[in-house]
Amino acid sequence: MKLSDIMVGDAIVPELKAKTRDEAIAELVESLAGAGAIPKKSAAEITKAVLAREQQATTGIGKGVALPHAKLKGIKKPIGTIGRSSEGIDFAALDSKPVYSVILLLSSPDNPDEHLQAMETIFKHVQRDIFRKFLRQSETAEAIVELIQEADELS
Amino acid sequence: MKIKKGIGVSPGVAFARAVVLDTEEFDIPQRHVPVDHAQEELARLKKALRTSKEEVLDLQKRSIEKIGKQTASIFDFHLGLLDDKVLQQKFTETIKSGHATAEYAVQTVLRSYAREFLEMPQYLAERVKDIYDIEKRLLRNLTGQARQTLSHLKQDVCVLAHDMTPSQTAGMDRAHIQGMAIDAGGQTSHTAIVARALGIPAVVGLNDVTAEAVAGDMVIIDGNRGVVILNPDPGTLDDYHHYAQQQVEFLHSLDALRDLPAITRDGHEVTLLGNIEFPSEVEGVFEKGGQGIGLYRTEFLYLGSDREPSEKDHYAAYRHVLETCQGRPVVIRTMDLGADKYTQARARVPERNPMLGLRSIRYCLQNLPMFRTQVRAILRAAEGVRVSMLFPLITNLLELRQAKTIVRDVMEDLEEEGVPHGTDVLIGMMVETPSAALQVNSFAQEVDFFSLGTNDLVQYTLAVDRGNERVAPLFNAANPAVLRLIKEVIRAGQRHGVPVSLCGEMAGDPEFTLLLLGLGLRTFSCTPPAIPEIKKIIRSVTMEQALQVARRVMSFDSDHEIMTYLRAESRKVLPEAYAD
Repeated sequence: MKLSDIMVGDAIVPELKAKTRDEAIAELVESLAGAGAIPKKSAAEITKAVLAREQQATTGIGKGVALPHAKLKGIKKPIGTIGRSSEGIDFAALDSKPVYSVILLLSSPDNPDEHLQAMETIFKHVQRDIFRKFLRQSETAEAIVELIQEADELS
Repeated sequence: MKIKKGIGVSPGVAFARAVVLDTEEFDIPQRHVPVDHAQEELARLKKALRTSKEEVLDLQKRSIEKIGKQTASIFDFHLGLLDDKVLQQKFTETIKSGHATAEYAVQTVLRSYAREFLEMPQYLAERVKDIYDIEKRLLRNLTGQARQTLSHLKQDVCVLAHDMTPSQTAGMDRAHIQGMAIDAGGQTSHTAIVARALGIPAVVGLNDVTAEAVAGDMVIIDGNRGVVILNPDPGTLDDYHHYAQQQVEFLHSLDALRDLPAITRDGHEVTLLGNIEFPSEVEGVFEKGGQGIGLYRTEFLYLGSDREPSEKDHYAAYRHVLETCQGRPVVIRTMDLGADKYTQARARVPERNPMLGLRSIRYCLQNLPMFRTQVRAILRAAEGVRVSMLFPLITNLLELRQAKTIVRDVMEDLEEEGVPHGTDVLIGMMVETPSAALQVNSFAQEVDFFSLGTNDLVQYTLAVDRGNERVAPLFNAANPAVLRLIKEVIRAGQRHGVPVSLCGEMAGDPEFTLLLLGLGLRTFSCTPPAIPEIKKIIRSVTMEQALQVARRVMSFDSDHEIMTYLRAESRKVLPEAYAD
């Protein structure tokens, strides 16, 4: 699975308005709805589900990255988007450091393998210092889309 | 007399005449036959297939009795091949269209089949050995040669071979096979696993023992020290007989310790656990006085069958172990395959440096559906019992967090599906690379326990492949750099209240017991046969003694000094163990 198959280009948020974790997640879900990737009327419910997952254990895995995710009925294949915050957001991350890149993933509860493959793809890229660094430096949605494509080509 | 140094993979000492199994090459007679001979060749092939199948079934039956069902499932793949209609079709076509002999058809078809396997993922590529095995068997049955067999021996022998196929090891006559010495392989090679399961002394990684020995030579195989002696002189032979005799008496004397606690003379308690590979080994750990399973290696689930193990396979194995343990501690290590486990595949797999490549947890994190299957089974098996899950080869925090994210994810799935599972599974990591050891303070915040894997820690710290004869002497756990890392990990564990166990070979080596105690280690997990001896040492010393030894050792700056000192100290404690 490629990163560009998962990430919805039109929903990428190059500069999050959000200042808090909950706002950031809501903003990204809204953005997915705005891009037509999920129904507008489900946005609130989806946000709630992602936050509920986040409350069980933070997905802020450190190094400035958080991967909020949830499995939801109505989602057919894994979709996601990326939000960038230049100020950093407190995600109660495992290394207690602010999060600069929020990668949201939504997948279907009926196909856990696909969810894992999407996670695998995201993990693979996030492991690389250079990917995290470039992501943090990309100031426009176009730059992020390009980064995603380049990353796919590399692997 | 010639002394060969290898890797001792199964303890004990064996003396016997050598049987040398060379890599049998068959001369394939006559490639082409007249057209009207095709029917005759087909009939010969059919007969050979039938005989081979009977042989394999018989072998499987006997292996189930000898080494348990799981190991014996290796043969399912052999049977599958012999029954494979596509393969038979190809044999027939080759005979008919190529006017070829049955032998020729068998060889060409199976060789090309083997090539296809080599291109597949590692765990399938390893299967190639089984294909060669079947090829040999079919050819033997076709050419009518009596199978050079290890199952009908008349006298005691030591087997010397370049490498052994699963059917060779499983078909062995345990009553007459005293020991094994193998050119290839490492700690985790197939031969090593089978030898340990059967309790036969074995040394592997000898490189060229088969080239130097001739059938009928007298051989001593010392699985304790990893030494093979060819044509020993009478003095050496006497010494070894004496040594073996005393070993037997000594081991016998340890039986009395079984139900006694592992406690120093001044009252410091130590936990002694066993390392296992098969669920059937659990009882052996308790028989030797172990208090639980400190390391359950799950690789054999992947190696023992021709397909990736299903959740059911995993679950059945784990549940069996947990039920047998009845609440005693069990640490299940997630899949640790790659590199060393696939010595055969290694040369052909494009990874340039497999020990530094995609192995172990790295492989799992890039094959999440496979990893999830195992994690799911562990969580399900943990229902109502205490289980610890151990991730191997963690080198950085992100890896650990990713692995933990997956565990949490799987747990959520189980909750949603309403499937019963354990909710308080402890999560730990192996510390087996310098990077993990040096960052141990950070890791301590995020795991429930540490397990020191000294075999890999030594290899990665000293940059030594101990399977490589030319550098193997540099492989030494007593190297000051290695000891410093071990000390650091144990200390960090104490500081942060995170339990540390040691599950490498060091834990079962009596020469290191005093030192490790002195460094603060309180949980040893070793191969079951080593448990009584380690317990004996612990019960013979005081913590004051151990601390003194540790202080002294840490002031030395060469492994030679350290080993000499440790040997002398442990000899003082347990002279019986060193009788020679």
